[in-house]
Amino acid sequence: MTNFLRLLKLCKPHLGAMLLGAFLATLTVLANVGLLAVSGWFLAAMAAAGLANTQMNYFTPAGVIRFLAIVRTASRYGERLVTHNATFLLLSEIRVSVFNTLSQLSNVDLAMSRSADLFNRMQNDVEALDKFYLNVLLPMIVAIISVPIVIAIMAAYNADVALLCFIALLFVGVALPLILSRQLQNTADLETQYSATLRAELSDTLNGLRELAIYQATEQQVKQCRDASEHYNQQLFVRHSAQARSNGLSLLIVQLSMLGAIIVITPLVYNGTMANVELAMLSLFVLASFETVLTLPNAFIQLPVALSAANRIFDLEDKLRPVAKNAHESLPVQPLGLEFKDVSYCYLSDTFALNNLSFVIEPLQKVAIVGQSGSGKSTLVNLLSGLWPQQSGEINLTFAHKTMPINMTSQQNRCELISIVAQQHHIFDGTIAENLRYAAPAATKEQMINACQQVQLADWLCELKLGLNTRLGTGGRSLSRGQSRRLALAQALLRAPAILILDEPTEGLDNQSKHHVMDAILTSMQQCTVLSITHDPALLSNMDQVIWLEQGCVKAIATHQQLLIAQPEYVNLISRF
Amino acid sequence: MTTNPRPDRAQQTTLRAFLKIHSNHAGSLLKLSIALGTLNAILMIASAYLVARSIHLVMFEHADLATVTPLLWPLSILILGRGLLLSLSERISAQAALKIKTAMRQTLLEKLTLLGPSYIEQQGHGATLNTLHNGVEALHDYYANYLPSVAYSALIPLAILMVIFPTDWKAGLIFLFTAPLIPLFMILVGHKAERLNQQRWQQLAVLGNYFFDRLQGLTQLKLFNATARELKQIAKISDDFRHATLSVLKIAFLSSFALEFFATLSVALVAVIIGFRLFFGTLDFSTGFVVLLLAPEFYLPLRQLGSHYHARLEGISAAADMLKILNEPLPDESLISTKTNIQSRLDVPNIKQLSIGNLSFHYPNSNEGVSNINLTFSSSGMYAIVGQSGAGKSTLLDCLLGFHPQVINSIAVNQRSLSVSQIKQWQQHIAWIPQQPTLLFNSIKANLLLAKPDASMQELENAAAQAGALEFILALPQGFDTPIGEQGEGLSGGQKQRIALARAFLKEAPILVLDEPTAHLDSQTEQLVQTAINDYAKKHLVIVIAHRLNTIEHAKQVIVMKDGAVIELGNFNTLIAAKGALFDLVHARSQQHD
Repeated sequence: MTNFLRLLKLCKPHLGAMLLGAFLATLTVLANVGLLAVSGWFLAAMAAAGLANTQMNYFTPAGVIRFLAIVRTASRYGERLVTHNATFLLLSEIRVSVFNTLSQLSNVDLAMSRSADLFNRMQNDVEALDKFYLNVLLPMIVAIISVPIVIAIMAAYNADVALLCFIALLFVGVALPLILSRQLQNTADLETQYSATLRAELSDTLNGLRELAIYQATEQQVKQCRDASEHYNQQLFVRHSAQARSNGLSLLIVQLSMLGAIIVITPLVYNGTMANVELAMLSLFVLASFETVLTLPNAFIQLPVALSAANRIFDLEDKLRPVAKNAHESLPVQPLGLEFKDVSYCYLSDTFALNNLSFVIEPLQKVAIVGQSGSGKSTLVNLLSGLWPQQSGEINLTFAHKTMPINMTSQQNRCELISIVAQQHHIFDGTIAENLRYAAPAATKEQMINACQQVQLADWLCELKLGLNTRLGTGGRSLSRGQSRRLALAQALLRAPAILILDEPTEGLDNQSKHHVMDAILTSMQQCTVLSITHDPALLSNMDQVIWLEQGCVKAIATHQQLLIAQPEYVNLISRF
Repeated sequence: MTTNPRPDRAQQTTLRAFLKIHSNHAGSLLKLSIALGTLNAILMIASAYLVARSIHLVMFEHADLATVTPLLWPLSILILGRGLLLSLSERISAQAALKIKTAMRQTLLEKLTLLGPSYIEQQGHGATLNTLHNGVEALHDYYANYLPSVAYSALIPLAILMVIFPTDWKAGLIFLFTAPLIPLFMILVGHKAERLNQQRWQQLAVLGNYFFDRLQGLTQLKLFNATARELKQIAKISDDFRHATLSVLKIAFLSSFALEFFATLSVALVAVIIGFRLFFGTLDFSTGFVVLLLAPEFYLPLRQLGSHYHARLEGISAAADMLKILNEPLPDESLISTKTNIQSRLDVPNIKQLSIGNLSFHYPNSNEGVSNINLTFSSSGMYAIVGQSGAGKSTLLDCLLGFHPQVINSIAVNQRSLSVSQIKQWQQHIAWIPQQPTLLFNSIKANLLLAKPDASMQELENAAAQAGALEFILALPQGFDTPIGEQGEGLSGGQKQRIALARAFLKEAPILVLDEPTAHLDSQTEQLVQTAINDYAKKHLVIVIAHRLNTIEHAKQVIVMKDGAVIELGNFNTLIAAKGALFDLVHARSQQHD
C-alpha cells in the first residue's frame, strides 16, 4: 500500500492530464453502454409501435443513438491521445527519478547488488512501471466512476436487477482477477526460475559445443535442454490454463446475469408493473454494463507486478544517505604528485585488497603498476576515483611543496584533476561528438578534431562520411577495440587532467592497433602525471618507474630495466604472447 | 521487441508458410481448438435465438415465467457449454503452441549441433541464444492467438450468415454486403495505421535503449562529472520523444478512429433498417432482436484479427532467424551422413605417434585458416604452440580435435590416417581445455562426471587433487555437490580453470590439448596449474597453445606459427639462440618503442 501511495505521489505533477484521460475513458465506456441499451429500447419500441399501429417519435431515440455513437468514437480518440500523453509524462518522471537515485548511490552499494544484474532488473522494473497508468490506474479509475453511475441508472428501473448486476460486476471485475493474480503470483517466480534455467542450459550447450563433443556428452546435453524447455513450458501452461479458466468463467457470469435479468423482469412485465419494452432495454443494458470492468482484470494482474517493481526502485531510493559536505576545496589543474600512506582496503572483512600500502609519485612522473590478479591494482584505481570510500590510511595530493588530503577536494574537483581510462570504458550510444562532449561539454569542433588527431583517429575520421556526427551504436558496437581505446584517450586529452590513470590500455589488442594506441598514450602522457596498470613491455619501458604489487603490498619499486635484470619472476609476469 | 528489420511482403509469405509447416507438430490440437472455438460461436448463435425468442414471448405474447422456462433452461445449458468451450479451446491452443515451441527448439538445437561451433561463433552466441530462447517464445502468441483468430474471422461470420439467411434473407444481405467493407477499410487505412503503430513501438525502444545505455555508463558519467547534465538530457529527450510520438499518434489514432467509426456505423445501419422494418411490421421482433444481438458478434472476429497484428509480426520476425538456421547447408552433408555406419573402428590401445600431414583448411568467405601444416608428436611430452593472434593456432587445434571433418584424414595416429567415421572415437582419446572452459549449470560433481560418467568418488577426489582443486572444493559448504551458477558464476577464474583441469585429468586421455589462459591468474594458481600439467606431460602427450614464457621454456618442442603456417620448430634454447621468429616474439615487444 505504501508503495502504491508513493507511486501515486510520483504521478502528482501530471494529475491534470491523467484525470482528463480518465474522464474521457469513462465517457467512452458510458456512451458505449448507453448506445447498446438505447438501441435495444429503440428496436423494442419500434416493434411495439408497429404492432399497436400507433405513431411514434423515432427522431429523438435515433438522434440519441447518433449522438452516443459520435460521443463514443470521438471521446475514444481523445482518450487515447490524452492517456498516451499522460503515460509518456509519467514515464519521463519515473526515468528521471530512477536515474537520479542511481547516480547518487555510491559505487559500493551498486557493486553490492552486482551491477549487471541490477541493470537488467532496473530495465524490467522501469518497463513494468512505464505502463502503470495505462494498464493499472486508468482501468481502476474508470471502474470506480462508471460502475456506480451504471448501477444507479439501472436501479432506477429495477433494484433487483441492479443488485444482481452489481454482484456480477464485482465478481468479474474484482474477485476473479484477484484469484487469478494470486495464482499467477505463485507461478511467476517459478516461471522466471525455469526460464533462467532453460537459458543457462541453452547457453551452456552453445558455448560448450566443442567440450561436449570431446566428452561425448552432446546428446545428453541436448536432452537436458529438452527437459528444461519442457519444464518451462509446463510452467507456462499452468498460467495459460488459469487464464483460460478465468476467461470461461467470466463469459459464464456475464451471460448468466443477463439470463438472471430476464428471469427477474419477466413476472413484472407479465403482471404489468413494468413496461414491456424495458425488458429488451434492461437485458441489453446488463450485458453492456460489463464494459465498465472490461480492462479491470488485466489491471489486477499487472498491479502486483508494478508494485514489486516499485518496491525495488523505492528500496534503492531509501538506501540513499546524505553525503557529508566537508569536501569543498577546489584546486586548479597544475602538476600534481600522489602520496599513499598506509592505505588499506577490505571488500569483505579480514581479506585485505590493499594492506598498508605506501608509495610516492612525483608531479609529472610516469608510473606503471604491475601485479597478478588479486594484487590490488583495481582497488587502487577505485580509491583514486573517489567513487569508493577510503577506509584507512591517507591519500594525498602534493604540489609545489605542499600536501593536501585528496578527500578535501570536492568530487567535482577531483574529477577535473584526475582522468581515468578504465578497461571497461563505456562508449555511449550516440555520435562521436556526443561522446567527446561527455568528457568536455564546452569543446569546440576544432578541439575535438585536434584531440582525435593526437590519438591517431584522424585517418579513420576522414573516411567517415558524417565525420564527428557518425553514430557509434550501442556500446560503441561499430568501433574496434583499438578505436574505442583511442576514443577514450581522446576524451582524456580533452579533459586535460593533472593526473591520468590508465587501466591495461593495450590489453586485448592486435599488434596493428596496439601500435596506434601506444602512440596515442605517449602523446596523452606528456602534460600530466601518469599512473598506468599495464603488463605491456613496450609501455613499461616508457615509464619512469614500476610499482610491483603483490597481495595488496608493494613487492618492489624500481625501473623496468632494473626489474628485468634483477627479477626473473618479473620477466615471467610481463611475458605474454 | 525483436531487432529484425520488418520482413517485406514476399519474405512474409515464405515465413508464414514456414510457420505453417511447423504447426504440424500439433496440427490436430490446433484444429481441435479452432473447432471448439467455432462450436462456441454456434452455441452463441443458438443462445441469441433463445434470448430473442423468450423476450419476444414475454413482451408481445403475454407469456409468464412458466411459459418461457422451457426456453430458459436450454439457454442456461448453452451458456454453461459456452463457458466450458471457451476455456477448453483457449487451453488447447496454448497446449498446441507449447508443443510446437518445444519441437521447434529441439529441431533448432539439433541442427546447431550439426552445424558446429564455428557457425555459432560466426553468428554470435548472444544472437543464437536469443533465437533459441526468446525467439521461440515469441511464436507463442502467433500459434495460440493469431492463427486461431484467422480461422475465426472466416468461420464465425460464415456460420452467422448461414443461420441468418434462412431466417431473414434481407438481414443476411445487409451482413453480406457490409462484411467485406471492414477488411476493405482495414486495408485502406489499417496498413498505414499499423505501420505508424509499429514505428511508435520502435521509437519507444530507441528511447529505452538511450536510457539504459546511460544507466550502464553511469560510472563513466560520474567520472566525467556529467550526471547532472545527463539528468536534464534524459528529461529533455523524453519530452522531445513525447512531442514527436504524439504527433505520430494523432494520425495513427485517426485511422483507427475511422475504423471504429465504420464498425459502429455498420451496426447502427443494421439496427436502423431493422427498426423501421419492425415499425412497418415487415419483420417480427424475435428475428429483429436476433439480428441486433448477432450484429456486433459478426464484426468482432474481423476486428480481433487486427488486434493480433503485433503477435503476427513478432512471430514472423522471429521465424526469419529460425529459417536461416534451418536452411543453412551442413559443412559437407555427404561426410556427415556416413557417421551412422561405422566401417572402420579406430583401434589404438596406445598412441605411439600422432602426425599431421599436409593439412590445409580455410574458413569459407575468409582468408583465415592454416595451410600446409606438417607436424609429428610422440606419445608423451609437452608441445607448445606460439604465435600472434590470428596466426592460426586455434584453427590448427580445431582440425586436430576433429571439428572440421573435411580435413580429418590429414591426421594420422600410429601412421594410419583417420576417417570421418572415426571422429567420435578419436575424440574419446583427447581431453581438451579451452581458454574459457564451459562449466555446465549443474553441480561440480556432475561437471566432473561429464568426462567419465562411471567414475568413483575416489577417482573424482584424485583428479581434483591432481588439479589443485580438492582443497577449495572441500572447503565449500556442499563440497562436490555445490551447484555452479550460470557461466560458472560464484567461482573465481582460477577455480573454474582448476575444475576444468580436474575434469580433463579424470578422463585419463592419452592426449591433453589446452589453450592456456591469457588472463593473469593469481600466482599461486598459476604455479599449481603449471605443475599439474607438467606432471601429466610426463606420461601423456600434451599440446598447449602457450601464452606464458614459463610454459615454453619447459616445452619439449616449441611450434611457432605465423599467418596460418608453421615457421619455426625446435626446443626453446635452440630457437632463442638462433635469433629467429621466437626470439623476435619474446623480445620484440620490449623494443617496439625504444
